[in-house]
Amino acid sequence: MKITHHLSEELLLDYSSGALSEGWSIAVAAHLSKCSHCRALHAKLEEVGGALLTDSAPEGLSYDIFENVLNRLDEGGASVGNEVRKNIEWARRYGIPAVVTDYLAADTKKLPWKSLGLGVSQVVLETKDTTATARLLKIPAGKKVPHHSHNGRELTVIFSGGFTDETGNYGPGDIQEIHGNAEHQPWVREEEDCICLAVTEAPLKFSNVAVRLAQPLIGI
Amino acid sequence: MSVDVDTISERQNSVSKRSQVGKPPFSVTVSKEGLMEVGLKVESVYRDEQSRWIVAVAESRDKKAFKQLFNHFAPRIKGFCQNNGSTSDRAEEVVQEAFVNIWRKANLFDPKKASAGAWIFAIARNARIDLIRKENRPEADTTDPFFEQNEPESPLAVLEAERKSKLLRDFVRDLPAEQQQVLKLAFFEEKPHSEVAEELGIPLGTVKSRIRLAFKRIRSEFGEI
Ligand SMILES: [Zn+2]
Repeated sequence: MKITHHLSEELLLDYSSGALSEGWSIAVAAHLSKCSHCRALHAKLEEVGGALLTDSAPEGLSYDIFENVLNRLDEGGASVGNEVRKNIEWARRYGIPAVVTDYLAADTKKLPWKSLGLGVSQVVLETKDTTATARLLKIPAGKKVPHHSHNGRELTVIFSGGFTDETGNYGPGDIQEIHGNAEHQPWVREEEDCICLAVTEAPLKFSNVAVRLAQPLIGI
Repeated sequence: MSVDVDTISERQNSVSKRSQVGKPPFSVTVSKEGLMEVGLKVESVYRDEQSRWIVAVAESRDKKAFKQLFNHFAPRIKGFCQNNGSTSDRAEEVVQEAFVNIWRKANLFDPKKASAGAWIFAIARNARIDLIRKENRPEADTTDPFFEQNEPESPLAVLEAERKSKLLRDFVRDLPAEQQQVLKLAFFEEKPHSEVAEELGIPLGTVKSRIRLAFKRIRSEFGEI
């Protein structure tokens, strides 16, 4: 897989330090699942975190903390990471990484797509993040999505298919990072549907229906 | 670099090989000039005692090693959390959660991929997100069938990485103050770079360029990564 669009340094720093909230972090982790180049840089940033931790000023602890920890330990062997993964048909078909399927794996046979109109479907990921919304999108092959813009940041990670817009070509593994009100018009490749993860700022909860309707592109 | 490293590569991988800690067969070190020295011991990989403590916890559920890890890192994790404005009680909750996870996940620690400090930092960071922010921490899962594996790494590259990681620790201490300040606000206070700009009262562009400069140094110091 040839990845040409990588994480920005600011985004990677925010993710490595822990500052980035859950919704956005899913997109970063999805790209990291596909990109050893960004993973190597992420590992270096965790070394920076480790260096800062190692050099930080120690604070005295209450006397019983270690006791408390010991009381919570299980005695068995350390075996985290040996769990057997479910065989998820749709994940295999679209090459969707576990960090995303973990949010959606209730039905291993099919995804609960909901139509957004214009042939586009979505599945929203349930997160604890109130500031960002993460959703899986399916956009039909050859589709030209109308010109639109988003408020704030938008991250898109492609799993299968791809699209082209004013900023370049995006294929599997690539991440697109858009800021502010930049307009774009993605054109999905002819050969196959585009399956991607899109993370956007959580929509403001307007009570006014007219304002709601004015939200750009198919309610996203 | 073309050197026969087959024998070393056997020592790669697998947690089960960790039993060789302390009596490794030989060493390969790459000197600053890029010259390679093949000696009698691989000490590089397991060099520091903190890594050995984690490995001992993973392999023999060694409570003495666990206590040593605790004595070394717990007060630092607490200090680290309190930078973020957490109360002493909250910071101690994070310490406890972190150490329960260190015990549970010790088998995932790979001293060839991360230093002990970096691995424990990541666990403490995630405990902080879990307990204080009450969010999940999405991470790339290496056991995932759709995880794109790295190109198989040569053992030499691995030893290089370990050497680099130590250099990196010194390097952070030597960064120009303003770059260090941005990194510290990010890591200690978990501030996104946009808030770092607000806090310092400087334009976002300035923060971004300081981040870029710091990254550029990391890259030039440790090769293209
Ligand atoms: Zn990348």
